[in-house]
Amino acid sequence: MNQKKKNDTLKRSMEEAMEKAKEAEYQSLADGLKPKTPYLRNMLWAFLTGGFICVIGQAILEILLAAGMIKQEAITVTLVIIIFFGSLLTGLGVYDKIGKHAGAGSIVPISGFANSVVSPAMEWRQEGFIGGLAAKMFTLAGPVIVYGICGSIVLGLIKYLWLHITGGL
Amino acid sequence: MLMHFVWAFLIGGLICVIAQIAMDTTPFFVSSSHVLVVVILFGELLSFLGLYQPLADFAGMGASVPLCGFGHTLVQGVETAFREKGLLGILTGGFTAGAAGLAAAVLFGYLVALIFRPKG
Amino acid sequence: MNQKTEVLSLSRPVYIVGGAAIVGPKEKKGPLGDDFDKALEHLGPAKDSWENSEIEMTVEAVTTALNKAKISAEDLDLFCGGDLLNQICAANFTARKLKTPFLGLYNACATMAEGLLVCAAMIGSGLFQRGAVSASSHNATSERQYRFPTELGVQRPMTAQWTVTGAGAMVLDVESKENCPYISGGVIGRVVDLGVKDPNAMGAAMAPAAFDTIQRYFTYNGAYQPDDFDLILTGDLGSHGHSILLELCKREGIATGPQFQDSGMWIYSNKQDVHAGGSGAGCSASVWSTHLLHEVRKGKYKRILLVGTGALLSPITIQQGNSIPSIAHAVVVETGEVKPC
Repeated sequence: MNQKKKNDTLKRSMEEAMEKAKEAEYQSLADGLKPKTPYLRNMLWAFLTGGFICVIGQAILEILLAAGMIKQEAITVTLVIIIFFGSLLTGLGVYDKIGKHAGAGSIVPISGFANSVVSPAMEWRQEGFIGGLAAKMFTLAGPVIVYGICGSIVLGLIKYLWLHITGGL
Repeated sequence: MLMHFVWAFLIGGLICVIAQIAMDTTPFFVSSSHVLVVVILFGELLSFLGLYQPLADFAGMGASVPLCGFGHTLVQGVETAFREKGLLGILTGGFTAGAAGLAAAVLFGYLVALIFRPKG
Repeated sequence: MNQKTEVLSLSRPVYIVGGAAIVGPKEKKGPLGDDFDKALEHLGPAKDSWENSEIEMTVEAVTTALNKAKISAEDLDLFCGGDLLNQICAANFTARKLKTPFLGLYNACATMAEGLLVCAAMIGSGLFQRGAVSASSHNATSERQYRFPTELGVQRPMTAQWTVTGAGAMVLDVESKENCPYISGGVIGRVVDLGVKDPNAMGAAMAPAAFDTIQRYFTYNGAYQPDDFDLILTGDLGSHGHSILLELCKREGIATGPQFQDSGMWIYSNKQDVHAGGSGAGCSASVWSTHLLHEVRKGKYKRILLVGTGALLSPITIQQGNSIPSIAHAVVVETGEVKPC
């Protein structure tokens, strides 16, 4: 009886191993025929778009500074303006067209964060203002806030304790 | 003045290129949420190590516009707050520092969703 | 002991007496654009939902197909339909409009082939006289259900396929009308899963299923070899999946040739920047029920093996780390004299 059980387990693990091998073989076949990712083109687009958005931000900042705003506030206002334009371009149906080519170039700037807040809100508006628009607004941006806030708390706590121990506080 | 723009372009673009390379070389598909989470945590870590402020001084909006700049703002906010208010500041600091950006995203998100329809 | 039935062979032929397809603007601009009956001007009406636009498209495809076949909806014995949405709502709402007995089907992008098999088997076995089959998909409804909001700026990988906006319908009848092709049999697919987990490489997930079905057909049908077909048309493998299928056939000794084609590679031109090609239940449905039937009527193809391929992808199980099970159904379409059985 015990022997039979042992044989069964052995057989099952052999079958599993064979299946794994078959899957691995297939995966390498499929990967071999995969169309190539255009790495250089993607990098160039990401660089140009990302850099361009930052230059626009820099221009807004210089204008605000010239108007006499203090630097920290000017940076915040600049970010709000970029968020505004990111949202507006999403509403006009342009941001997704940019993102198709720019990839990370339009995701990483803060306008990309605005895009990930606005696009689900627009998409689920037909499902109601509470259960649709508002509930879905943070389906994509939510994780960013969760990890951003948690990360800052953890790092802040470490720094707090460190400063306590070393007497820096 | 001109150099401000050049550095903003170069550093901002470079951060996006690093993210693009990470996206393209990850064996599985990564959504924009994945990218943004990694970028913001990366910014927070650099800020924690005291490396982000020098970068921001140097690159201007090239370091503040990418979302890692937002991470830097959060970490800085927490530190300022716990220096003022003690332990409670660790909880309040992040949201206080990020309040303008978050509120703007919520407000504009709501307004845009009211006015525009998705076009596909 | 009975021998297991691998290949279906209908005891009488079931004729395809009409077909119609309504597509979206992007499909209209593609190489097959002129063959479709009608195209939407926009993906969706400005004040309404994407889903309503897909439902309207499906209703119109079925009614147009019925009109072309000169059959009224009241004379239909059966309507088989499906789509990619949760609870197959486009098909349900179409059936609500038609008021015919309805079987709702889901086999993802293989739904059209599944519907043709089910409907043809019912008619061929003498249960019914005539039925309609439809399948549809809509780029925006599937994007938002399976992937991301339509306005999110995402960069699609090169293996990704573009979900076709389109609804296709065919009318099947036990009686022939002039110059109509007929369904003589087919293969019901098995679920095959070789562990592909990337929802952006559906061609790779589906190719083994297509291969399994094609292999079973040629092993057991006893009459035809791949060369006997003018066309072996897979549903929506795309360029990546298609090249994998050819490679699998080569390795297992099935003779491939120019008759191996893929509807997903037909529907868009390379200039339309859709990467690996079209996909979705509406892809095979709209191509088969218009372009293909036109070509058959013109006499370009005499014997066709349609292989509808479907990635039975669930966004939830994908997130849980499970792989993508896939299926492929084959349908044999022939023209000319019916051979006695």
